[in-house]
Amino acid sequence: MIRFVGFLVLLTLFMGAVPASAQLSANLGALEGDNARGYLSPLPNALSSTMNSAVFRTGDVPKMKPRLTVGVELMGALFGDKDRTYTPVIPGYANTVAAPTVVGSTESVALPGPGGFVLYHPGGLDIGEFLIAVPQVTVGSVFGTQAVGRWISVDLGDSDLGKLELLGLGAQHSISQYFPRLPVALALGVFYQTLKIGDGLLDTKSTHVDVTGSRKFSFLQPYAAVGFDSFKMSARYDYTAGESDETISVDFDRKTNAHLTIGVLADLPVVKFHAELNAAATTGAAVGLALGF
Amino acid sequence: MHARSWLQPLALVLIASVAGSGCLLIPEVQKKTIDLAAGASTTIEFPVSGTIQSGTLDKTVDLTDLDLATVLSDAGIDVSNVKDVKLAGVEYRVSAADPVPSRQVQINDITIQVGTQAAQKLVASSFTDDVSSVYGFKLAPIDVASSAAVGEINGLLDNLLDNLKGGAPLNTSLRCTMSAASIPANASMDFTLELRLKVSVVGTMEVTVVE
Repeated sequence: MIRFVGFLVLLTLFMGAVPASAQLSANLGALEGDNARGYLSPLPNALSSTMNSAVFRTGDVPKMKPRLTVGVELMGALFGDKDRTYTPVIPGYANTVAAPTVVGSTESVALPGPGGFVLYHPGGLDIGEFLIAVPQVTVGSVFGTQAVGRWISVDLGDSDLGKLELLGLGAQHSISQYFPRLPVALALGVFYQTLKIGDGLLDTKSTHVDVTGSRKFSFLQPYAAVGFDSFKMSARYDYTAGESDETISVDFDRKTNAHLTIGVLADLPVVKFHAELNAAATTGAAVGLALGF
Repeated sequence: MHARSWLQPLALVLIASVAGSGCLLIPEVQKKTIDLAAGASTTIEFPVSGTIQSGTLDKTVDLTDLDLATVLSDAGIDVSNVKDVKLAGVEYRVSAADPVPSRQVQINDITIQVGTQAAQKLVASSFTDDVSSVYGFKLAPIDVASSAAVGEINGLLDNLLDNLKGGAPLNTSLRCTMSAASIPANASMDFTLELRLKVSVVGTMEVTVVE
């Protein structure tokens, strides 16, 4: 068990969600509000998709039965080509250019302005996917209800990875207990999460609601879920290109989208492994490994 | 077909799909060299007290005022990794208002001169604005003719960068002159006009990312 916990700690350090937050903060410092919004534009969809994946992996919530699993979930989403550039707008500059977003090319782009002015736009991190790993606990079940929580807080000091804190709490309630003749086990789940990167650099809140259906075939349990995600993100950074530093806050519009999941759970006596595909704000995948009963 | 006979292949397909999504879910730590951009600015103050005459709006400015070393340090860019530094804009504002309402200043042109023997080069021309109230920086009207002046300033920025790198000291100062008139004409004015030179700098930095 100790080895397993050690593995979890190691794995949760692989937080792709925090790609060099120190560098991110520095690059944002050269961008005014609307352009910072463009630079960060791929993140809301990717964060929404990954954070809201791998929350519930069964519709089978017993009416009254001890259940405790501790594990780690690894969720990822792919970025598309359209996520790699945006078009910055600079007052007084008639020209436009496709500048890299935070996930785009590492090369900066020079925007030529009137009279020979040049304004440089920072490069991105050149990443094609977005990963979050987080420990998750499921506890149940009482009156057909089980609680799910995930939490991680890592402070990697002055390193490029920076500070990250993710907290998620939710519950799943059995629907099939009221309809015993249903061919599949059904449960309604609600999950709320916050993710903070850096000291206020990125602040996100998300809510996931779904109905998960599953059916046992020996130790294998295929599952599917239909639901929706609601996601809100804001960024706060020091704008350093002016005469004096000023703190700029950028609020992104709330995103609400459908979330479809198909997956399979290998429900062994102690070890639980699952893999799933998600069609949400972006397409993604997740795997999870847990120990428990 | 019996459920269990198709379920196992289906499960394998699903797991393979997850694992094969562009090698998604296999975290990899990578060192990358990434272009960082930063901005800096220096402001030239032109206090006006009395009538505007030739030489009233005339200042020498040293681009060391940009404090490029601090800008680079704050952005995490080592001076040896700077790729380029360029002038990105010229703006103006009134920072202290004339107490008499409806006073204006007409700027005929803004020129710069690098070296006492060099010709003055046009930066911006022909604009009129209120000086009876304080306002934020506005873009100075720049046209194609200003490219020579912009080139001169970019040359000074290159000098500034060379100086930071420890080279032999090179000139980083310029003379900035505004040809202007008050509205109403020959009125005794009391205001402060500021001109801001904005600079864009780009350099590289090595970062660690996980994907």
